[in-house]
Amino acid sequence: MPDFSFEVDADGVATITWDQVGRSMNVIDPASTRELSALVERVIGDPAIKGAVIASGKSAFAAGADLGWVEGLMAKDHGRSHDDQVAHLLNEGGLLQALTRRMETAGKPFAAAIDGTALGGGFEICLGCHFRVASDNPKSLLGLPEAKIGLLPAAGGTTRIVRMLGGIEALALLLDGQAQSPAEALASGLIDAVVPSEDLLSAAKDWVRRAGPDDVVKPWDRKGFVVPGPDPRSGPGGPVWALANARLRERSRGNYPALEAIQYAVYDSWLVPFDTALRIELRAFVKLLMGDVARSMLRTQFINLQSANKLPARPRNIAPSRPTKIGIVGAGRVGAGLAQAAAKEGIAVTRLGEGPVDDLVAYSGDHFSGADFVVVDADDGAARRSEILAALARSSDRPVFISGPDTGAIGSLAASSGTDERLVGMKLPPRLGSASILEIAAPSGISEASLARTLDLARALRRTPILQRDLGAFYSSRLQKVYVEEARRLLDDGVLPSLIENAARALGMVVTPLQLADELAAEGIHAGSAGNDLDSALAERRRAAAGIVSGYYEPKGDASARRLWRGLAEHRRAASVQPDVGVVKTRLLAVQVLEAVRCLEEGLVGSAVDADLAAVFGCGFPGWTGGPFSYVDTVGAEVFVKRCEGLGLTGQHWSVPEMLRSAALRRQGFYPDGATRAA
Amino acid sequence: MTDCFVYDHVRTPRGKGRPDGALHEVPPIDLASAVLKALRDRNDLDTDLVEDIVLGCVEPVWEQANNVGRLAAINAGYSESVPGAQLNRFCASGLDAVNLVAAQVMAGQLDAGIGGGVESMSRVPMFVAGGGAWMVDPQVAYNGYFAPQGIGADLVATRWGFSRADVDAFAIESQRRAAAAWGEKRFSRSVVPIKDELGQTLLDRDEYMRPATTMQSLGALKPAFANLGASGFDAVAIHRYPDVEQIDHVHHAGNSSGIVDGASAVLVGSREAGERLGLKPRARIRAFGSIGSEPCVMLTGPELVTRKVLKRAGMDVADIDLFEVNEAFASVVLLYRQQLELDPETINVNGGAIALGHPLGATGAMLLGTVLDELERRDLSTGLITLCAAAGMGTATIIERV
Repeated sequence: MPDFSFEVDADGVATITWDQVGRSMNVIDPASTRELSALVERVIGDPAIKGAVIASGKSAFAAGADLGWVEGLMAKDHGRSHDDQVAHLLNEGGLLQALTRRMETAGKPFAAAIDGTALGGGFEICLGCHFRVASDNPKSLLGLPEAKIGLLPAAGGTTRIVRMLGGIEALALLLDGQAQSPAEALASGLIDAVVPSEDLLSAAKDWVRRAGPDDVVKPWDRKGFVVPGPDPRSGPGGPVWALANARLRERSRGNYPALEAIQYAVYDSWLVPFDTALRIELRAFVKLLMGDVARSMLRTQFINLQSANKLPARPRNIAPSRPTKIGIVGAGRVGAGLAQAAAKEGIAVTRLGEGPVDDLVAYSGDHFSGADFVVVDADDGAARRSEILAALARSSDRPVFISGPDTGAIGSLAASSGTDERLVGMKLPPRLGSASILEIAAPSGISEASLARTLDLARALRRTPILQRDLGAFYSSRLQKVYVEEARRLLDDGVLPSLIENAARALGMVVTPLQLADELAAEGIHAGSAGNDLDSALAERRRAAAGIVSGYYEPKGDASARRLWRGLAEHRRAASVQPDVGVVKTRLLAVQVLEAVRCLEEGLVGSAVDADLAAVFGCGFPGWTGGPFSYVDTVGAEVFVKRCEGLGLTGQHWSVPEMLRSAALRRQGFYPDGATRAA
Repeated sequence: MTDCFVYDHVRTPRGKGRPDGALHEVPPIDLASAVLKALRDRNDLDTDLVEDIVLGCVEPVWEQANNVGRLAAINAGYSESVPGAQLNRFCASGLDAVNLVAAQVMAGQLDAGIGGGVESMSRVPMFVAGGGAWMVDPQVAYNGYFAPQGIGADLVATRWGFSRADVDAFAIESQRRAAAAWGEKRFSRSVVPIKDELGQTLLDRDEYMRPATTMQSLGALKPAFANLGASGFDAVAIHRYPDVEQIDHVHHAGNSSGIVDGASAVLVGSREAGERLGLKPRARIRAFGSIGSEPCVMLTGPELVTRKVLKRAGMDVADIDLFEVNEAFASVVLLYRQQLELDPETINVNGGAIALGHPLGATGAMLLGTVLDELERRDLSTGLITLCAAAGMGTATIIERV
């Protein structure tokens, strides 16, 4: 089925319009690439055609590669030999690259008319054109985000960006994968012009019409071309590159092969001719496709995230809703976070009681009339919360009630407050990232309507809901708890606090455990036990710091510059022989993985997919792993169990859940293709 | 195995490695030629009998490119039969150049030769050409945990507990000893004044020294590597040494080796060669060697290579009368002293590179000469010379008076 239309105007300017059938966005796959290639050949081969404009028939230019196709390229059980697989991936992965180079060097003008977003392979098609003009919509995203899914641009994108911007500039762009607005892209030289949407096509056509022989030769295809920016082989360029290399480590810490591959490819690209550089970037791309990290990142952070956002658990028989008003009681973080997110989406927010409110009458007034949700997140205990909920419930039967986290089972709160069918628990991740989750604890008595409305709220707030059983604690809280406790056991074992924190950084944990312990303690969570010398000392320090996060850390200074508490050494003497950092890393990671498996085993979370999403987006679990279950699949359940047992640790944290043992025994993964790795 | 003896050694004075340094107007080949000429002239050397000249040089680009060994031999008017080579073992180059010539003597493959080194840091600054794979190639930099040496020096201080006061005090002692050595003319036998073509002296003593240095004056200096560290290199070092919470930046220009210009040369040969040349051996080269160690901290090689060469020589630390440990940074020598449990009065007794300067490729051979002169002055027997070298290496040589 044709995904492109083709027409030639009176001046011989062809317009190739991309409008992929059955898709809301144009995406790159082999079929669309082959079809576009054929049309490009038609332009090149027809003497009556002057050149071509490539445009889109949709509201965006193109989204990038079809992620399903890319995931297929990453599949492990393809039944091919290594050499055959390499040849296959070079071939299939290289189709678009060949197309862009063909356009670039055929001697006829090609212009990209970029209306809306153009990302990844879509933007690489534009880079292969001789002229790029975008419509002036500031919401359009232009760029090469491949690094975010563990890949690098390999349809000429890496090679061209290096030659357009210089190596150091290219690194900044490619490693971040940050998209730009049309105005930004114009300023950085990625595109040539920005025009109002209605003038876009004529501007592109005009350019093709007027293009002379000089306009169809890229700078790097002319004699004497020099890559701009500091040359790594020069005195001034050397230190610049040395620093860029140091920063790569800070960013990757050996966990993100794509970042290293980008840096290597940009550097290796420098000295060699353009077509050699294309081979280098394609090789790097294929190597990443064959590795584990890109697959794990793509699966969890994109494919499964997108699926979860479609709300698969939402009862289908309930009509979709959109909340218009949220009421908030108390000043807890769930209330504050939801208020902030709601305001951003244009949902009205009504607050009551920054502190404890004595008069229950306040809750039975019409303060929250018309509210779709009322969040009760006052820091005053379960009994009080039950009273407030009961008062609210009496005043209106409209809202679904949301209770802030960690007040025990939601079901009993619902029962005691008479909100059986319409109370959920909710927890927001402590540090909201760009993609963020919302943990929802739904007691068994929840009505389908309340559940559907709660999931609709998540959608309205652009948060990914992770539905959990009402077992008294949230999944993310449980992972954080064992993480912090393991760090404490390491301390008790005489491991240097700096080694513990640096091991967590080296793992790629978003928050280090002693830092997290301080942050949680500031909220009264897992603040240690009385009667223990260290806990008492920490409690005293936290009291003295009066609200400033501290304890294991000194209270002063911003988070990155803060020092560990010197006096810690008096309470926990460092052992004279310190363990290898690898052991510390394993302990900090594996203890969370084991807990995650326990959570799945108990049915707290519904699936490994949900658990992985919640770990990566809700607990700062390392993104390169794809989450704890993805991690187990990658190393193999049998290897993982042996690794845990090899640590020789005892206690309930280190007991291996039956679910994991049987996965190891059956050599079965948690994901369909994670099956066969043996120890 | 043939015994190899040291017959003579000379060095230039060390000029400030800046455009206003006294040796800045002297091209590096001329510096190297000056020491070769001095060796020839003061020993009435028949250069037909010199079978190789190996010169260390750490920045072998620009004027120091092409092979300074051979070019200096030609320029100095040595017999055209004398071949030359250039050697780069980073900061240990000058010592290893002597070792390499000695090795050929001991192997019976040549009878007499010259090892030494040259570095005009004012004319060919460090890293001036860029492009070395060590730091620039992302893959090499990554695998080697590249961080500049100063970060390694500060990491040594942090990990092994040397405070700013410790390293500053060490620097002052280096200055004091160097000034005392010059005061007593202890270097006069080996330093060759550098003269212009009219015979006027450009420099006849080490120019870099600051004998007036005090704790107070050093205290005013800001840490030299703090910004570099904060820009990203501290994170590299901490990734490699995760037990370290934060690197204490204690080094600065006043407690690190000085950037200077200079050259050195050591004449070595077999006993028979000495007889043919009519020279009396001054010392025997007992053992030498090089090692590699962890490249990120970079500066811990001297202890390891010292243990290695002592073992090879069948000696113990206590068998060494005087040590010369290159003062690349104060922490390097403090660590060496601590790890080998040495008496400070036996190490760098005439000061070191903090006071005198470190003309990279030339230093090793200078240190060998310094310790030999001092062994003779004190009438002691054995000396051990060692230098840390970039990327984690260390080189050492043991000499023994005869």
